[in-house]
Amino acid sequence: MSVLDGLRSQSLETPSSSISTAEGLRDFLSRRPEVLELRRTLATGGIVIDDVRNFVQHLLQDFRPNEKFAGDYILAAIAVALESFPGAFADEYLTDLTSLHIREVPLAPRVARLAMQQRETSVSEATWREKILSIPDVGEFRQPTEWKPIPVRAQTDRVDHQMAT
Amino acid sequence: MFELLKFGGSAEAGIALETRQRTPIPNSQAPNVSSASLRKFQRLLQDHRDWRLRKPACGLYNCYGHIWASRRTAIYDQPAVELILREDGYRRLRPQESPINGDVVLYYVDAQYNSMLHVGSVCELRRLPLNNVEMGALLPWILSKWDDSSGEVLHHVNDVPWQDGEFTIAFWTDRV
Repeated sequence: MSVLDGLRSQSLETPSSSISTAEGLRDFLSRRPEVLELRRTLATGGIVIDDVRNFVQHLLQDFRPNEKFAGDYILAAIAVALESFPGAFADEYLTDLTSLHIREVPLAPRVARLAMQQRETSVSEATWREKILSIPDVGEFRQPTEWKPIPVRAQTDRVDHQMAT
Repeated sequence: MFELLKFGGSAEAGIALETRQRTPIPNSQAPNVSSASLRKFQRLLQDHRDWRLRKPACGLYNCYGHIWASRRTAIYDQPAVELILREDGYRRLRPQESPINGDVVLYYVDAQYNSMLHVGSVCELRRLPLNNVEMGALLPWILSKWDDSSGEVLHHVNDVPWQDGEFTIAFWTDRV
């Protein structure tokens, strides 16, 4: 069973779909092993964006107008998993979900809005760490502590480094 | 990605709802119950044999709408619930205080009482038998509607869909 199929499990559905506010649902989901595993698998490339896209499209086949959509909490769980995941797909997913205001899916868009707020902080931090870790050719120098970052101008996201003299 | 929902869904629509201080409360009436939601509620009932069904699964309102909107609509945003608690004069019971019928119990995700899971109303206090001689403490029984597509059930305060360690409870009252 893939990590995405794990979101359909009764062990997640029963407690998650008994929560009625977005804040509680997001907080609850962010602690669940199914969501943490999805987040980890996404980060390590165990599943790719198309897997998520296909899973969501398949899930939406059960949507019926004027009926509560039973996959509401699953869309919310993916939003929580994606909130710290850099890249355009996570932006697209959260932005599209946030734009919904429909009765059939009341909670996932609200959770996505909270995830977007969280994302503004977490993804910028993750991006900064990526830049630090990708110092060019740092491996060829045995004493990386001799390197110091040059102050970065506010209008650029480029990070340069030079050897301390 | 969500075009089907965007064009196939029905727009959220609330009713006129205000706090005692006449601040509007955001709300939205929930749609009809789906067959999947019915099955989920049936499973819940089978898993919790001590629950007593008061009302079959229905839409329109969730737990917050049950308690603070007279079963007319659903409230999905925690700031709205906090607004109600504040402007309707609710206070959390002190540690030595016991809940009585009509008080409400709020379930939270953690012991810091940050994120709300659910609200129900205290409808009965039962003295559970401890053993053949002594009687146990009075334990609250709660009337709950778990979400906007479940039914209403009576249950013991700790007999809920979440596991031990996944929730914390606090009793609130509008008594002075």
